[in-house]
Amino acid sequence: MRKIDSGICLTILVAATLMGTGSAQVTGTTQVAAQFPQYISVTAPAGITDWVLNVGANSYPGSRTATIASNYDGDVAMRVRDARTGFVAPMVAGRMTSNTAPAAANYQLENPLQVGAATIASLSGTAATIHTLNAPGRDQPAVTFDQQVTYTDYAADYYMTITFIGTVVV
Amino acid sequence: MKSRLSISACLLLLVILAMEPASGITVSGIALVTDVSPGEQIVYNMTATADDVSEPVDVTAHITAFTHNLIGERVPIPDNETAPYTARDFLKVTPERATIEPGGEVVFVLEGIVPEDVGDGLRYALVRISTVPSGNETIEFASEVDVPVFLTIAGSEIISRGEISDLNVSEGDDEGLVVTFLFTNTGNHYCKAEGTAVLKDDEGNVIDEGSHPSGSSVLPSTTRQCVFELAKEVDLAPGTYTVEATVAKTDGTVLDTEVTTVEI
Repeated sequence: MRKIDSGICLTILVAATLMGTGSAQVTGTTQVAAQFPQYISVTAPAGITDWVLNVGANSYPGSRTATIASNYDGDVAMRVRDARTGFVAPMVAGRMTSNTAPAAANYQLENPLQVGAATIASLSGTAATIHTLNAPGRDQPAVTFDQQVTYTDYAADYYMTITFIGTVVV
Repeated sequence: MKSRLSISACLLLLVILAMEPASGITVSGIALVTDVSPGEQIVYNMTATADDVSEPVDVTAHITAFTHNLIGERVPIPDNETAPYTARDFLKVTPERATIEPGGEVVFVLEGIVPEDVGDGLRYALVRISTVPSGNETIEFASEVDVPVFLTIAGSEIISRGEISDLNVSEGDDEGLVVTFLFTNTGNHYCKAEGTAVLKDDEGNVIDEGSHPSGSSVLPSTTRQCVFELAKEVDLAPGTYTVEATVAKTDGTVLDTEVTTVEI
């Protein structure tokens, strides 16, 4: 019986010694480094195909949202502008035309398309701020579309392409 | 029950088909604001990815000169026109057009060499990275990230100065006063600034004051308009009032001050 007890004690002693040696071998520190570069993410609303205009004020009845996100430390502006080029006078940017390519259009609405979020912009070839993200963060502002139609506007299918821009305010 | 489920599924499919997918873009490398020396080579990477799409997305990149309008929004300057303080002329971005495959990315590289005779102060430009719209919808959208490039010429003479002009005071609709003035950056560098207007009576007592932060920086050779509505709900007694207009940098450095009087 005593022999057995001595054997058990010896086994425990050896095991404890080995465990202690093992612990010393795995102790240490590992440095982890990672980069999170500055970014801007901007997502334009889904396209519109179902807007029927009448004489007078028209507000697009559907709902549209845009998304802007950034990890920048400061203001990030969401801006809009007419994406198209190639206007032939008297046609100008910001007004819907009867062809997707302005140079091939017969007609243009008299009034510019209004695009709004926190503020409303009359669309033109120059980008205008409609929302400002206090970054870092992510905003999804609702976007409104309003179009004034006059009695002298021609009947046609009208088109517009709008660029939604995200940019830091330097 | 089965047919109801089928009808619901069909309606859902129709709704999904009617909603064209939104186009999104993410760019890392969103502003190049740094000091550079004449002769120095510039290389700046801008990595673009498309958001949540299963189709390839065409993307363009273009560098443009720009200025600011009176409210501080960027106005591009056509490529065939000269532009003061522009960095456009010694920079290029490649590729000019690329396709982002689903789950992939495209690296646009801005590069160039700062001319030895670049001059003093600031040189700036804008890189536009934009998705290409499909051209199939009544009103359709593109997504774009604009990357400002602000290069300060190291070792050059940096001039920070400005001038207030056209200081006007008129009566507003709500019995108050409307104060307007223009501020022009006559230096060769950019700064964020704040305009203030202080209304005082003939004894020097402050009746009202307002401030107008510039928001975006005031670029050299550009003019910003400041508008204030003062004493909106104050019944001003007849007399002589002074309006003191000041524009200062965000560190408090006063760039210019103008004073005018108004008779009520």
